[in-house]
Amino acid sequence: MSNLDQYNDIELFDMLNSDKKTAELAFAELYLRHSSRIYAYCRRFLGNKDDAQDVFQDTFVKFVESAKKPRSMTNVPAFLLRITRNLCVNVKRKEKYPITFEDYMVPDVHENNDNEELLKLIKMAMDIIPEEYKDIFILREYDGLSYTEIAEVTNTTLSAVKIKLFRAKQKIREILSPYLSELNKY
Amino acid sequence: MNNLTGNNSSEMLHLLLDGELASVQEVPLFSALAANENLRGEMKDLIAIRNSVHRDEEAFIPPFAATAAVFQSTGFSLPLAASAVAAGTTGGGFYSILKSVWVPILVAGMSAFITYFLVSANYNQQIASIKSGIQKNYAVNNAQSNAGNSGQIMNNHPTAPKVIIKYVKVPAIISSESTVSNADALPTIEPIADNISSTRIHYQNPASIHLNPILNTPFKPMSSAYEPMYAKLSIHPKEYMFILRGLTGATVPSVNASTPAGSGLSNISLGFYFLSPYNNIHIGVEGGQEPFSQNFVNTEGGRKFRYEQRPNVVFGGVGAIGKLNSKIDFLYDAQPFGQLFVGGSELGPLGKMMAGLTWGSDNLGLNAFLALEGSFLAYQNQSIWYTSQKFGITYGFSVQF
Repeated sequence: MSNLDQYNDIELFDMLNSDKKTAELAFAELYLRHSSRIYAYCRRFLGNKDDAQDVFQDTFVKFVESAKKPRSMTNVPAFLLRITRNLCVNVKRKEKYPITFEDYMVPDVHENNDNEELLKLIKMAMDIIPEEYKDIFILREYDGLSYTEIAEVTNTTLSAVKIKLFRAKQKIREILSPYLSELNKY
Repeated sequence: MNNLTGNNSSEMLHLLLDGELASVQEVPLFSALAANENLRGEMKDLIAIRNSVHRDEEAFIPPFAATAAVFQSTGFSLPLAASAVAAGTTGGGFYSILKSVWVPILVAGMSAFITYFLVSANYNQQIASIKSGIQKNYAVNNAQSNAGNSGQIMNNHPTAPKVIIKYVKVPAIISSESTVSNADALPTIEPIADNISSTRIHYQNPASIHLNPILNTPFKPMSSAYEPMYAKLSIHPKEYMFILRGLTGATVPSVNASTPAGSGLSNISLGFYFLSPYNNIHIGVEGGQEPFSQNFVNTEGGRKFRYEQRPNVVFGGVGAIGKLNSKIDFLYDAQPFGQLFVGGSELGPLGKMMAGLTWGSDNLGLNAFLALEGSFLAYQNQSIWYTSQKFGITYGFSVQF
């Protein structure tokens, strides 16, 4: 069983309860498939790299633990993202001094690359929009989830997802508008 | 706006870019885009934001340390595939390693065989040339200087190697009785020629001839004081050498990742060398395992991911070690040496250069060494070549036999 890419996520999830060798291979395959989107969510939702790595690690620990319990798994990435979201929210609640947009707004005179500068501004903007918007924005733009999948992960309605995502993008665009208007001139 | 109706042009634009717009709404949206400059500007902004997000490489790459921590905390061992996948390879376990390093192992094995063959062949050739030279010179000597009674001698003793006189640099006139010992106890000859009429020579087997470095003095019977022929031929009796070395150093590029635990012995190499026909140069094979840092970009599903990792790399190849004859007194008779290594690893070609000092006894065949080392590793990912360098110290000992 060295080549596991022929198995789907649910089959691999079931293999986590097999013998250790099989479970190890199944976990490695699931990790390769989903670690990037999990890390992206942690990294952009929390901002802080250390917190992101802690939550990233805890997510997979809880994921493996949950495999040992009787459970009907239907969507592994959604399940992983739900764990991640809950852990991220817990970390955010513990934060005493949230970083404000003004803290970030230090012009970088050495920044010459427009794309990198825009990305930096997007990250700043994401930190000042409401978390419920940021959450949906990350799931859509970073994790590539469809509206239906986002509704499943966030346990909300499809129309709520549409509204929040629309507002998230509008707010980010509004924050970046001075920069974007300059950018569009060239 | 409590509800998203999808009838607003801006709303439709968002849905379009997210792939969620119904086909019946496409025509009205495109018409609005054609007529509304602000809407086109909004589309540009949204596309720019999306493109920037997709270039957010930092967010999509779990650091290797985080990956290692995940596997450790879940109780699973970190598969080799985790590092191999970043380098664009698949598979895991011993087979994966073997598949990656079979070329350097094969090259190293062939090199070892060729080196051994050359050394052995060269040695035998030198011995053969000595033998043939003796016979040849014997004939010349026989024709030129012993035209008289020596011919009779040769008839009596057709294998008598008078050439021995040339080889051992027998003085023109040997006044007293001299003896060259003879392992095979060939017959005694007297007299040989006018100029050595008083000489008594006991011939010996050419293969065991020993040279007398002292000219114009009578030969002495062979004894342990005579220098072995091997020394004159630059073939050291201790032809083989094992080397065990430890490696330590800084890697470039610097990465925020540690070497995964449980990947076996690290920063160690083992070598086996032969003494080459050239003075003080050993040639042989060496292999080991040490970590190299990797920092590269991988495109997956249209997105770019930057990988930072520090995997343990198995390597093997051929090397040459050269020692200077001089010793440095004030450094406790340290002997300078240098080494070149060329080989391959599971990631790509590898080269090393070392320069340092060695201490020990050549007679005992045991030496310790300390040297500066520079390594260069090239590896490929998605048709792009990357390099990784390492600078540090190597230390260890060698056993010659």
